[in-house]
Amino acid sequence: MHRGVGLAAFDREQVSQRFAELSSELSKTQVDHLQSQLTQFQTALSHFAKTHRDSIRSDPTFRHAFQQMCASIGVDPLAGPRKGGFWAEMLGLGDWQYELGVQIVDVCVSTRERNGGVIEIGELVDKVSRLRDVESGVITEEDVIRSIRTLQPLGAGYEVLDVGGGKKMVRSVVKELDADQAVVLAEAQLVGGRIVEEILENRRGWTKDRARAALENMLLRDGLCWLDSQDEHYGKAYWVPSAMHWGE
Amino acid sequence: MALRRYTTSIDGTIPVPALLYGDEELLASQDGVGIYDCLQKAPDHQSGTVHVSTHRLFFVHSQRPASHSFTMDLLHVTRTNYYAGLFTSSSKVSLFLDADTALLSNTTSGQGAEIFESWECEVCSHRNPPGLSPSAARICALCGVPRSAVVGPTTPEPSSQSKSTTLSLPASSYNSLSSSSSPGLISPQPSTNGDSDGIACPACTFLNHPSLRVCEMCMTSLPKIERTGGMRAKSAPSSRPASPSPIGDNVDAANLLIKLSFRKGGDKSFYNILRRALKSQAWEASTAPGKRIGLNVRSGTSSLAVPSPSRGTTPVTTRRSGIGGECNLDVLLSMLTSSFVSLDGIMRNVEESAHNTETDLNDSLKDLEAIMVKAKDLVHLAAELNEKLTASSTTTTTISTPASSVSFATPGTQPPSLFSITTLVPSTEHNEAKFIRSSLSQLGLQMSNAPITPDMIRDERKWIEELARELAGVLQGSPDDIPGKKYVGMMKERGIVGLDEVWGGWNRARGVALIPPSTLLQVLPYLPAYTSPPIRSRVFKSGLSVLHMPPYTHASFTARMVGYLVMFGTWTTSQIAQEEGITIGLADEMIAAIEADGVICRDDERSAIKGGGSGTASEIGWFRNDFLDYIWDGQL
Repeated sequence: MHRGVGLAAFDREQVSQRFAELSSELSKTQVDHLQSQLTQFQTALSHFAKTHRDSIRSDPTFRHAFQQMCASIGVDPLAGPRKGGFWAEMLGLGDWQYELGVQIVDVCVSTRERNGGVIEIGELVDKVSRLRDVESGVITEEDVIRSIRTLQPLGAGYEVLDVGGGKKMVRSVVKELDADQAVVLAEAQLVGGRIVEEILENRRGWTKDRARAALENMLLRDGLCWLDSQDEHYGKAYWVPSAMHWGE
Repeated sequence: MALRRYTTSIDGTIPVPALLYGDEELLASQDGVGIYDCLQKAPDHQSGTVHVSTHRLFFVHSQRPASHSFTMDLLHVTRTNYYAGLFTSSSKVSLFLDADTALLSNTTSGQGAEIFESWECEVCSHRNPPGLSPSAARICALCGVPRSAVVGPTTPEPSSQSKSTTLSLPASSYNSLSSSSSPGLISPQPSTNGDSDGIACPACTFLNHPSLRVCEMCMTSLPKIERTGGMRAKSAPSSRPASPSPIGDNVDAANLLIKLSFRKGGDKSFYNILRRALKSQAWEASTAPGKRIGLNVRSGTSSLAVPSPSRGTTPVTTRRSGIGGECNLDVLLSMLTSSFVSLDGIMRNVEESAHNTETDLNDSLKDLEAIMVKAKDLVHLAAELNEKLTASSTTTTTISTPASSVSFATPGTQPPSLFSITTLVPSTEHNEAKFIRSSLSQLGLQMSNAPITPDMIRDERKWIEELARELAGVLQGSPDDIPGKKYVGMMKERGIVGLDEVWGGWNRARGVALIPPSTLLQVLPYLPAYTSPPIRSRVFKSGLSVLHMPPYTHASFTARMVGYLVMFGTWTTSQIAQEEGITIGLADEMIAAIEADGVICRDDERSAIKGGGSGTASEIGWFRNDFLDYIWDGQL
């Protein structure tokens, strides 16, 4: 049986509106609560990671639980200042080098998207320091460089480049696994061999850093392109011979 | 005094694991321990082994386990104290006991027999198995309704239900009478303490053989007699109860303690475990499930809850719609009409549950001990928090950073919300947290088990193999997936991965128990045995090491390469790279390896100077090596 719209329906409409308001209010307060809990949780976890690392490490099941908490809350379980000091390190007791290594790899891999696998060492130090939640200056460039050296056996090709002017870069991408190169080649083929950073930025949505890193890699590491440092328009252009059309 | 009132004797010849309740777990043991009763040494308990379980403390005498062993419920312990020892005095742990619960142990022991029987629930007729701890056995395992037929063992009234009041004894000896399977520890029964060895039946007074547990005549259970050598030596009047202190006597509560003296060390670890057992309060767990932390948050459905008349909470379904900003009107309306719940009540309840969670969280995060005890719940809570915030932010904001299509970082395993979460709450979520949540550790690298460490496995070979198994799980996802949660391995969608990512990702998954690069290299040879399809490692001429799936082996790549060349005659490196979908650098390396075998050969002629410039104008082309089959006959 079909009922027409009556007063009751109007009421119901109002009620539902009120409920809608209530609902959104509720969810807002809930989100607030969750936020505060999250913050509290994070503080506590990073505090424990810093101060009680050894006890955490000595208990396998708890260690696992701790790791799971850290992963979902967003705390680095390796946070904290240097443990063990010089001698522990010399005797191979400290995991410091490896901890730092894991964090370096993490930063490098995660920022590849943005910078094409080449990161300024200052930025790397800064990021690692923040992961460990320590003051700047606790971790030095020296530490990072030494830690990169311990990664040598992996054969992942991490290297510290001196780009002049006291500026150092860390390159984490090797030629073989560098997918950006193929993109550059494809773009170069479209435009007839001459490619500049701006093309990559505009057409691929790359960041400036990534575009520059990819082109520099091609030029210096792979020797796949030529540099024209007197380009009329951009000042600096790269020519990719394999993509050039030769007027024969 | 404390000993007598809080402990019950056990037969120490039975191995301790056999004495445990069904829901009890043995945590640690330590030998060479002596007991202090209050402040004096307990003469009969000077050397033995102490075991601590989730519910109880056991003492097993080293020489005379049958007669001088006892057990005590951890329930009585109010606080503990640790003394590190000095020179000749060994380290001690003091357990301060709760004066109010003294009775409980006696009644508990008195009802031992009933506890170890199976019983049928009156409400749901579930047949409850025997062997659970007293608190767990008090409620039905199926429906959770308390067992009504039996007086709960922890009922506070002194259930002096000893039927046999024939012996008009001081009140203190009631426990020896009511006890059956695990009788009172010390208080001897006067009438049986004569020269004869028999035990008088409390019902029919028949003198039974001391080893019997029930009366031969009437089957009444017999009290067991504790004959201590010390007592005999002192030649105390045999008919006098050992110490007639009644229940309500004025023992100084501060002195109500038992000390464990660790003569052979092991004190520290034992103390830690004991403290943890006390903190976790396993005996409470079964009786008060509502007290568990994060309950309000975890179940998801109960985050919106309405108070029902009994002050319990009735969970309301569809949490997600509630939090997501839509209104689940139907539910609310039906609630409104059906159970007269006011909006005010809902609001109050939400507030309350949030508040509860917060206090729980506060308690649990107070110190490391607490966090260890509650670890399991906290893991859930953490995951829940993550999920909820993710859900709420995805519904309120539609912004999410477009993931760049090329390169590594996002092989489809990240939840899309990693970035968008910050758009909702830019103030609280700081950068590092965001980074961690979007970094390697979020690549779906959860491990279902605790990471393996050398102290778990003695044998080196076995250790490496176990590591290989673990790594295989990280790379390919674990085969025994937990439903609803997807564990995506690192290499599920990628054919070739550098060792740096493998190492970093694996260690991220392991948390703080790190694996050095050298160990990773040791593990790699074992990897193919644990992966399917087998993942192998390969070291290129340039020194680059990678892990790769079968299509990237030298042999299969060679076969494909030859296939291309037979079909098309000649191909350049970049053409091959394009066809294979790999990077040019990689193609270069792999082709070079094939060339070294002599299967293909290069054509450099095309790279001669052309056009106007100098240098290489085009790439090297590759041909199948047809010369290979020719045999030079020596003639020019």
